[in-house]
Amino acid sequence: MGAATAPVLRLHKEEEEERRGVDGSSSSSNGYKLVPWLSWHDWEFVRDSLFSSSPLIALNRISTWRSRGCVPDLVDVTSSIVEIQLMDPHFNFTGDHTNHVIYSDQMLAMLYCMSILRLVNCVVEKTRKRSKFSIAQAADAIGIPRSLIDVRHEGSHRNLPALPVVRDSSVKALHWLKCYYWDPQKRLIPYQGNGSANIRKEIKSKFHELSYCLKAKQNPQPGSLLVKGKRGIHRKGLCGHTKFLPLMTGKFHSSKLRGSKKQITNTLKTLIQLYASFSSEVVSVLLELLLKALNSSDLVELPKNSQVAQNTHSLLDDWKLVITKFSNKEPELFLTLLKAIVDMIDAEEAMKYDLGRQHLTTSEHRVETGQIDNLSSLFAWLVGQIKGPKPFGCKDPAAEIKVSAAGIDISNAVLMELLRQCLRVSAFGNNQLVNSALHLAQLMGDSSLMDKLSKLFSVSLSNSDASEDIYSSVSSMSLLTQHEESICEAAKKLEAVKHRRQRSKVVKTRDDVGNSTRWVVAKCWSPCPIGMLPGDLGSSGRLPILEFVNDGNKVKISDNRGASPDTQLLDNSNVEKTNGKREASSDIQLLNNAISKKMRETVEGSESDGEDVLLPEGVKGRLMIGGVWKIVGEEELLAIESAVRILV
Amino acid sequence: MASMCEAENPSPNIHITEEWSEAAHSISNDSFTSPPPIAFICGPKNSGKTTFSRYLLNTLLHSAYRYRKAAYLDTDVGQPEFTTPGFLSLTVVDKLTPDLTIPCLKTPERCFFFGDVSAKRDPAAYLKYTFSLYDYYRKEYCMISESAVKTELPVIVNTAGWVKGIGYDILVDMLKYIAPTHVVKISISTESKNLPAGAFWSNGDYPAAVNLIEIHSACEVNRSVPNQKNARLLRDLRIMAYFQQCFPSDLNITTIKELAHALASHPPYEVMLSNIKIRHLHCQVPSTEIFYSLNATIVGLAISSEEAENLPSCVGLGIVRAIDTFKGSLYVITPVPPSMLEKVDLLLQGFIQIPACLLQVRGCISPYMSANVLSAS
Repeated sequence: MGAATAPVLRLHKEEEEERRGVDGSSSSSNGYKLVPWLSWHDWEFVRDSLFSSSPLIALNRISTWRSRGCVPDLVDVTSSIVEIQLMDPHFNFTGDHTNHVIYSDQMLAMLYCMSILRLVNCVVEKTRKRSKFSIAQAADAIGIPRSLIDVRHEGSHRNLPALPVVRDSSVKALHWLKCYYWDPQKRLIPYQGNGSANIRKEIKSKFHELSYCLKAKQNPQPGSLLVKGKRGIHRKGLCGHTKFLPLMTGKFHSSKLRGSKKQITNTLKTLIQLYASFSSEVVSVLLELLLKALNSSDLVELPKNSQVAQNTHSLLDDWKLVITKFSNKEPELFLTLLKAIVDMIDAEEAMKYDLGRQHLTTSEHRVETGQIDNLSSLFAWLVGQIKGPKPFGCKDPAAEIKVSAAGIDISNAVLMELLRQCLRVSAFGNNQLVNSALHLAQLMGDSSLMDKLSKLFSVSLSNSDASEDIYSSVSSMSLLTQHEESICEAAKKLEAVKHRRQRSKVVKTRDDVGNSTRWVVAKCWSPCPIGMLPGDLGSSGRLPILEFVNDGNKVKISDNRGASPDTQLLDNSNVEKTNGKREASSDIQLLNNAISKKMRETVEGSESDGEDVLLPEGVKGRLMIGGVWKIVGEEELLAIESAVRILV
Repeated sequence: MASMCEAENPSPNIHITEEWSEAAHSISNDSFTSPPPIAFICGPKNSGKTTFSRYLLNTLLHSAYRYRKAAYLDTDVGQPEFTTPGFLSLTVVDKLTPDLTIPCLKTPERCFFFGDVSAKRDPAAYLKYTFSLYDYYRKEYCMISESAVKTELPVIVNTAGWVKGIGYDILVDMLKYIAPTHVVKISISTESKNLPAGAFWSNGDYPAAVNLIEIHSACEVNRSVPNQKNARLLRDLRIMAYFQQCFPSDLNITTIKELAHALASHPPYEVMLSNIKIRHLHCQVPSTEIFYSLNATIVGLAISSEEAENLPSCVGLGIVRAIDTFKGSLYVITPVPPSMLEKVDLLLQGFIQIPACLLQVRGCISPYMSANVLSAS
C-alpha cells in the first residue's frame, strides 16, 4: 500500500442531510419496525417450537436473530430461560443434547437467577416511568408474578436463591412471557389463521367500495340520484353488475359515503396496505372482478351489435378508474395484473392442449376458447391503457423515482419482461396478444425490436393458419406436404440451435480463461426490497430461501462433525469461542463448495449466448417439446435431428 | 498568532478558545526540534475531542509548520472522523479540512472493522486493532530510515469518550502502548465525569518525555450528553452518506427517500458463496442459520491474510441486499471500487445496523420492516 492515496470521496454536506429530516430511530411514524425475522411465518414457527417439547430449533433461530442486533428483549429472555431448562435434568427433555445437561445445582441456580434478573430489568426498566414507582409497583402494573421480583432482589442484594425456587420461577416467567408477549403478538398478526377466504372477501369489498366512490365522485349529481340513475342503466341488461350494486347502495348510501375525497383516499390506502401483504390475492380478486365485468357483457352479446361493444367498454371503464388510481399509488399492480393474465392464458392453453388430446366436444372447446379470448382482450385493453391519457405509474413522476435515467430503464426493462411473457403465450397464435406485444414494443420505442416482432408474427401467424387448415383437414395430400414442410423447417431450426450451442461453448471456454473475477455486477437486476430477490415482474420481489441447500455433500459434512443441526447450539457453547468461529467458517466453506459444484452443473445444462433478447430467461438452451420448454443436451439434439432426417 | 488562527478557522459556528489555539500551536511548534509529535486526545463525551483533533490537524498542516501530511489514528468507533461507525482507522491527511463542522468521508490508509459502536463488547479486540494500527504507523511513518525516503509524519490519536470503568482501563492501556509525546486532556465542568488529574496512566514514575496539556471544553452551552436517539441518527446519516457514494453525484439524490429507492434499484455485485467466508465478529451463529443472519445486513468487506496472526484489513462496508441459496450467490451493494473489491474474500458481520429508513421504500418495503409489532411498553 502506497502513501496517502486517500481520494476525498464525494459527499453531500451533512447539513443537507439534516434537512432531509429523518427519523433515525428503528421504528418510524408509519408503524413499521425493524425486526430480525423474515416474515411472521418465521416468527410463528419459532413461537410454536419454543413452547413445544423440542425447542432446540427455535433456540438456534433466536440466536441467529440476536446476531442481527434487533431482537426484542422479551424474545431474547424467553429463549434464555428455555435454554436453561433444557440443561436442567429436572425437566427431563429428551434428545441429542442430553450430554449438555448440567448437574450442579449451584450452576443451574445461577443461570436461572440471572435470566430472571434480566427479565425483570428488561421489562420493568422499559415500562417504569423514571423512579417514581418502586420496581415492585411497576411489576405489579404489568402483572409480573411477585416471586420473580423477589428472586431478582434476593439474587442481586442477598444470597443466591435456592434452585427449587428459581426453577419454579422460571416456569412462572415463561408462562408470564407467553401471556405478555407471545400470545398478544400472535393475535396482532393480521388475518392470521383464517385462511385466505377472509382476506379475499375484504379485498373484494374494498374494491367495490373504491369503484363506487370513484363513480360517485365522477358524477356531479347528489348521491341518491346517482344511484337511481345508475341502477336504471344497469337494469337494462348488464346483469353482472346488478348483483352487487343494490347491495352497495344500501350499504354506502346509509352511511353517507358519497365518494368524498377522504373516503377514496382511505379505501385506496387500505387496498395498498392489503397489497403490501397479500399481493397475489389482491391481483387475483381484481382479475376476477374484471373478468366478471367482461363476462356479464358477453352474456348479452348474442345479438351482435355495436351497442353491446359500447357496453363492454363502459363496464370495463368503471374499473379503469379504479385501476388507474390504484396503480398511481402502487405502480406494480398494473404489471402483476398483466402477468397474472398471461399466466392464466398460459394455464388455459396448457389445459386446452391436454384436453385436445382427449378429443373434447366442440361446445367445451368453445367455452375454453371463450375464456382465453376474454383474457386476451382484457390484456389488450390493459396494455392499451398504458398509452392512455393518464399513464400508469412508471411514467407518473410522483410514483416513479426522480432518478430519471434509472427510471426509464426500469420501465423499459419491465415492458420487455411483459413482452416476453406475452410472446411466450402468443406462440399459440393469439392475435390479440400479438397486437399487444407490438404495442408494448412501440411503447419501448425500439424500432428494431418492432421489426423483429412483425417478422416473427408473420411467420407464426402463417403457422397458425396452417394448423387451422389441418383441423379442417382439407385433403390428405396437402396435409402431407405441410407436414413435410414443417419438418424441414424444424430440421433447419435444430441445425441453428445446434450451431448456436457450439458457438456459445467456444465463447464460454474463452471466458473461463480470462475470467478470475470474484465480484461481478449482477447482469440483470430489477428493483426489489432489500432482503429480497427480484421477482419476475414489478418491484415486489420474492422472499429468499435462506435454508442451507440440503444435498448429499451437506449431510456428509454434518456426519463428520458428529453434530446434527439440532445440537449445533449447545455444541458451540462448549467449544472455545475463537475455535468455534473458525470451525463454523470452514464448515461454510465446505458447504459452499458443494453448492457451487451443483451450480456449475446447472450452468452447463443451460448455457447460451444470451443473444436472444426475446427469449424468456428460462427458455435459453431449451426446446419446446409437447408444449413445454425442455432442456436439451447435445445428444438429445442429435437424436432429434436424426429422427427428423428419417421422416424427411 | 491571532491572525493565523482566524485564517484557519472559517467555521463561524465553532469558537476556538485561546487555550485551544495555544495548545494546538505548542504541539505543532515543539516539532521543529524534536521528532514529529504523537498527540493523544482524550476526555469525556462531548468535551470536544473530535473538534480539537480537527483543529489540531489543520494547525499541523498549516503552512507555518513543516508538515505537508499528517496521520490520524481514529479509535472512536461510535463517531469516527473519516469513516462510517464501527471502524478503527489510520488516515493520512494532506488537505486542510475546510469546515470544522462537517465530518467528511476519506478512504483510510488502513482500517479494521470492529463491528460495533462501542468498545465494550470486546475490549481486547479493540485494543488489538488499535495497537496494530499504531504499529503500522510506526513502521510506515515514524521509523528513522537511513535513506530518509519516507517522510516522518505527526499523528493525532483521537479516542472515544468512555472514560470510566473498562473505558478508563482501555485508555490507560492505549496510553502505555502508544507512549505519546503530547497528551491533550480535555475536561468539562462536571468534575465527576472527567479523567483523573495529572498523568493518570503512569504508575508514579512520570515519564519526562510526555507533555501533558490540560484544557477545558470550549463550548458547553447547554450541551447535555447527547441522547441515544441523537447519536443513532448521526450514525445513520453517516452510513447513508457512505452508501450514497454508490451513485454518481450528478444523479442528484437529495432526500433519504430517493437514496433508499436508488439503493433498492441499484444493480448489486454478485459473488459466489463459495468464494467468500463469512464471520460474525461478536456472535455465535449456528452454521446452518448463517443466511438468516446475513440477509439484509451491513457487513465489513475484508481481506483475510494468509498469516493467521494478522488481522483482516477492511476496505469498506457493503449491504447484503439479497441471498440466492439456489444459485449459490450473494448480492452486495457497496461503493468500494471494483479493483479493491476484487481482493475481498471475507465478510465481517457485526452490530452496525442498517438504517431503517433505507429499508422502507414505497412499494418496496423490506420484509424486515414489519407492521403490527407489539410495542414494548
